[in-house]
Amino acid sequence: METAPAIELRGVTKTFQLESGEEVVAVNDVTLTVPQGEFVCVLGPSGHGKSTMLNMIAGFAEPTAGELHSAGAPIDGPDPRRGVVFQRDTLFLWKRVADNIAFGLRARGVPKAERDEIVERYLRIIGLENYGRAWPRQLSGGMRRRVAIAAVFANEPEVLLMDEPFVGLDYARRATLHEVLLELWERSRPTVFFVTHDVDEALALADRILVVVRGQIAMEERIEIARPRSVGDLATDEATELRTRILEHLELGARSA
Amino acid sequence: MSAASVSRAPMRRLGGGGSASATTAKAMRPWVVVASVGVMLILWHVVSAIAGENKSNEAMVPTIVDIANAVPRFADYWRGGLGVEATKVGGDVTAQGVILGFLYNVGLSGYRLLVGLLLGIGAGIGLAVCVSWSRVLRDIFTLPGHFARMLPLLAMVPLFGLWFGNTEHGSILFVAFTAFALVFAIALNAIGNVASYYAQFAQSLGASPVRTYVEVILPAALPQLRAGVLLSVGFGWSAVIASEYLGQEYGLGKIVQSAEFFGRTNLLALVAFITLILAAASLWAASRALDWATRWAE
Repeated sequence: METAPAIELRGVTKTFQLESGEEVVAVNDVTLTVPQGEFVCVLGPSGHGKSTMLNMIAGFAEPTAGELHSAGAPIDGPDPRRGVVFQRDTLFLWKRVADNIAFGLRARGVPKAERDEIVERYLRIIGLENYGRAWPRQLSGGMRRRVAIAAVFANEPEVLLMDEPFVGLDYARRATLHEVLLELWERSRPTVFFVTHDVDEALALADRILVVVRGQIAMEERIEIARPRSVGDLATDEATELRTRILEHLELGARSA
Repeated sequence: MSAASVSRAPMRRLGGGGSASATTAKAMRPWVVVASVGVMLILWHVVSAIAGENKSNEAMVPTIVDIANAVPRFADYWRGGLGVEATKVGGDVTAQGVILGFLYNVGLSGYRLLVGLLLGIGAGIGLAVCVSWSRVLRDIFTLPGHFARMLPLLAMVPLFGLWFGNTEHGSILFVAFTAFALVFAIALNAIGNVASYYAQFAQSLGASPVRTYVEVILPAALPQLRAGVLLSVGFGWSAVIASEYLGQEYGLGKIVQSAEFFGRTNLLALVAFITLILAAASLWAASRALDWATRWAE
């Protein structure tokens, strides 16, 4: 039996009304299918609908028209099966690191012993096994992002929605976080919908890249480079040609904005 | 490397460059402080000498010595018992009577304050949560809630007396009303200011609306609630003294009322001084408790 796609958008449109009364189309009649286990990176100029699309898949916003499904079921609100890693620092500052990772597990009623074991495992994976009792304010920006990712992965989501999760971090921290993310992804293989502005980040992570311009999918490209992808892998003629094509689309989109 | 040693730089920055007032306080020289207190005491005594006495032959502005002489008056406010007879039924003024009178009245006022504050702060935060949760409740309660804040509190004391009589409940509820009016408005604002992405993150991890409120929204609002709680402690002391002044048999407010009636300015000043110390101590304790509760804050 064929499994239902992890994410499915059918003719989805989202419009916003400005205070002036003007209507803005953020997402325009998008149809998209993401099979289970695929790592999709979404690129596009700012304000062209990437995050709106992610918010609708997360269940935070409703479409103006069209239908959204996840694993065959209509999306009608937030669901722990679709975890979200935000661009902002969303760690609960009033909870210690271990309690942040355990939050979703407690919410879902996972027994304490099992919860503790899962938290310990994830702390080890993200290299923060000695920081379980620390407050988030005691961690660096990169450490906090690792905890946020662990908190979502510990909940074992089927779909992981990431909205520019590594923005503002330097190259080295970003590369470390890519390793952590891919390691976690390889373990449980959730479907990932990863919004970013960074073409190299998309090339390093994705199975497929979507370029969203003016609320529509303007370009779609499958990345066939084997993982883990080294800097050299991303400097081949093929990768360079792909990067150029993506940048051309982004530039066109930015000009038309 | 310990967790505590990681990334404390922002806090050091706040402590170092961000607090000019703290730097000023540290730079205060002890002899200046002692001299300023000395000058204040001298001025006080000069004013006392100029102001003269009232019709009861009590100093209009009592000196420190006059105030110290008022301490034995606490024996008059001991209800009797524990082997010490009340002075109003013929008992002598004794050291035990003074101590018991002091502890009984301070304890009673403190009890009324504490219970009133707990009720008022609890009700203020509870209603703010309900109002921010439900649009219907918001429409019903927001205006009356803000209206309560604008009522002249001290003018409401007789009304509470009429409603509840001169009972323990009247005093406690008046303190609760005072705290409620302050905390409701501040809590509503604090909850409204919690960034929506915290709730979205919690919900995406499977938290129910109740868990999201209890474990996410309320703790996130706590730093902003701090001002409301501290204000309500300060105003709570005024409220408890006012309510006892008008309708209680014992308590610091009752001592103020009878001291005024008999023109005992030294006793009035003594109670004011004691209330000042108690208010400062309770504000310090509340502040420390809030510091502990928000020790995670950046």
